[in-house]
Amino acid sequence: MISEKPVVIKAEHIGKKYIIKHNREASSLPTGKASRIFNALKRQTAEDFWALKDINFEIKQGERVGIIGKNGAGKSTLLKLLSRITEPTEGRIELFGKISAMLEVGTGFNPELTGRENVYLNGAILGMSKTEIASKFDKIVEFSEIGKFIDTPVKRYSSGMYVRLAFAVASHLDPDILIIDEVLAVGDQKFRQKCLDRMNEIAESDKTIICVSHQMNVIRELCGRVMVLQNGELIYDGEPEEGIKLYSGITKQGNPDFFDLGSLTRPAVYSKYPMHLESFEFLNNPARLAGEDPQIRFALVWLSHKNINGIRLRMVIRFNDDSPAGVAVSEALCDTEEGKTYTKIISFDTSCLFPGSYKANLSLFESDSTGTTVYLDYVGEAVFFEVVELKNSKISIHNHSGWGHVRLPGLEVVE
Amino acid sequence: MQKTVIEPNGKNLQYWKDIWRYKGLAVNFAKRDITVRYKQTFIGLGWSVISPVVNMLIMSFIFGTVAKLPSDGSAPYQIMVYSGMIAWNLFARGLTIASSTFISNADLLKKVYFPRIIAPVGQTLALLVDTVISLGVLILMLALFKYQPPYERLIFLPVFILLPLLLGFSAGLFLSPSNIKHRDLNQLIPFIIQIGQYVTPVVYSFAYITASMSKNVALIYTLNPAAGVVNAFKWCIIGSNAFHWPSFIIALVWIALLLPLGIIRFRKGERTFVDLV
Repeated sequence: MISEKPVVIKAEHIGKKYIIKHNREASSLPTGKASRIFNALKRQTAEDFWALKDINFEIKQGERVGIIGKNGAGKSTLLKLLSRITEPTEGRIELFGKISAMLEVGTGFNPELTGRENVYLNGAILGMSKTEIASKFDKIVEFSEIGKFIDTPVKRYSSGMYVRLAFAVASHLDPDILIIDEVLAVGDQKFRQKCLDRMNEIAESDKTIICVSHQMNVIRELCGRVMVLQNGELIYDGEPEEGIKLYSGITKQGNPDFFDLGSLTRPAVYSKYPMHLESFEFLNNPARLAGEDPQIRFALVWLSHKNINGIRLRMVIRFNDDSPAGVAVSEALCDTEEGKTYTKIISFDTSCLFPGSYKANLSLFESDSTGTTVYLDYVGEAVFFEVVELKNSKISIHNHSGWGHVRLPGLEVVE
Repeated sequence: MQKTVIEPNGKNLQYWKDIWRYKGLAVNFAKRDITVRYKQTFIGLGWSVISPVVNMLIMSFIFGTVAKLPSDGSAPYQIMVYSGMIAWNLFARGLTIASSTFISNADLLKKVYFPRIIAPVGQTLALLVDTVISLGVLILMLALFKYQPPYERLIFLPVFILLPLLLGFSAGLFLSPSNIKHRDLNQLIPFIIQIGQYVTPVVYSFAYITASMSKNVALIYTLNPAAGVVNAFKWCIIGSNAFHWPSFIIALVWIALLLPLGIIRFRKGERTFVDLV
């Protein structure tokens, strides 16, 4: 039972202050020769910036804690304090047991040394003793799949080999407390899966793990507890789903589910179009982000300049790297009259899309009597959304570049 | 279970225990430095030899042959210069390694924790290996010139190797935190070393120079701690040299002050340099 385990990390009133120097803008300096010289020497002002404020928590042995938050919330700073890279300005941290931190892959790797020499060096830097490294050496080499290149200078390695070897060393650490910072964002898909499996293996044992990640599926998979940081403050500490929901709410500024289409400039060739898309608003996106419901509903608003019947909507979906994912088309939305504004609520099944960030082009069209598509309005890259792994599906890392973005219907055994 | 406490300005007696735990890492750093330096070079470790030897030959020519300065006692000028250079090198490189440690190791230190002093200690171990090679060359030179060193004094050699190193290292530690905020130290230190090589009795005889100075100037000259340690080292090699106590005591005083102050300043800088570098 978690409650019976000893406390391994105790943080009390942790604060970290940085002094940020600003170069003053020229316009704010008084003019005149004398004051200019004087000000040239004093051009900087300093400002106190509290990266962390009054952080308190206790972590027990065996817990797996995820730390999430926007960029700049203080996550890396907290990790630096826990891994003793820098000192807190205020407060006190007590750690029980051996700590190892993976804040970067390949720390200390020297390009002139061979893979073998770097394994020993990197292992020593991470706190492994020589005998420990020697006993795990074969496993490390096997995990990294470097093979005979282990005795070649690392500068000859491809970036993939480099990263595999570095991760192989780091993942064979055996500390009591392991701190990981986004190191899974490396390598190709096959290797990333291997890393995730290895992380799971470590998590199975009685080690305490603290990890920072922006990938909510990784957090869900690995962590039994989530801490949310915002602006240097710990705003939530508890159940992963709650924390993730809170974080998702924060990462959208204003109302990010609303997209203003009306003011977007259309490509010149489309400017005289009879329809004008005004807005697009996700009605239940937050639920989708929490992995509950693959059906997204959105409200589409447009203005009609003409009487047309049987208007349809087409969404061309692209992945965030511009590669096409697929297209979704609606049946007839409604018949329109000139001068009126229309709103329709439309449902979109995203269960076929693999997790990732997507964008969509929208167009209204009609099929005329000959079957030709006539475009009525078009906005490109108008809508952005994120698809995450469904709550109950097994974690997998999807190879967007190799497999496309769409999950085809499953194969069924017929005989 | 090992307990670690992290707090601002922590006492950290843990630190000294940690240094012992991480001793293997210092050796690793030394191995890395030596290996990297000589990989892919044709002559390899030979550079450790060629460079100082050439330097010594040039200095001996300029000061001994051209300027006709006398050597220490009956020792060949080259032997005196080379001995001086071994001692000076220990000081100069110790100073450079320690003073630039936060900057030259910044990338590593920002990503992983180990007692920060391990990095310069490791580099110093590599320096000692170089020194051993130089001693080997010195032995060859002694044989070549058929000059006999005072064998009974050679027991002190390890001590008088350690002292210039300690002097340079302590001074470097003392300066190391300032180097982060004011990068000019990075320029200043090589400059001081260049000048220092001539202000210190490395390439000429201490006895001769001080004899030709007025008493006051000689006093100021002797306040240079490097003079003391270089003299002491030379004394081990050159039998006719008398042990110069005044300069030696002055050097010891400098070390006694710089070592604790250097460590204190280094420890203070170590805590938060990551935020500044």
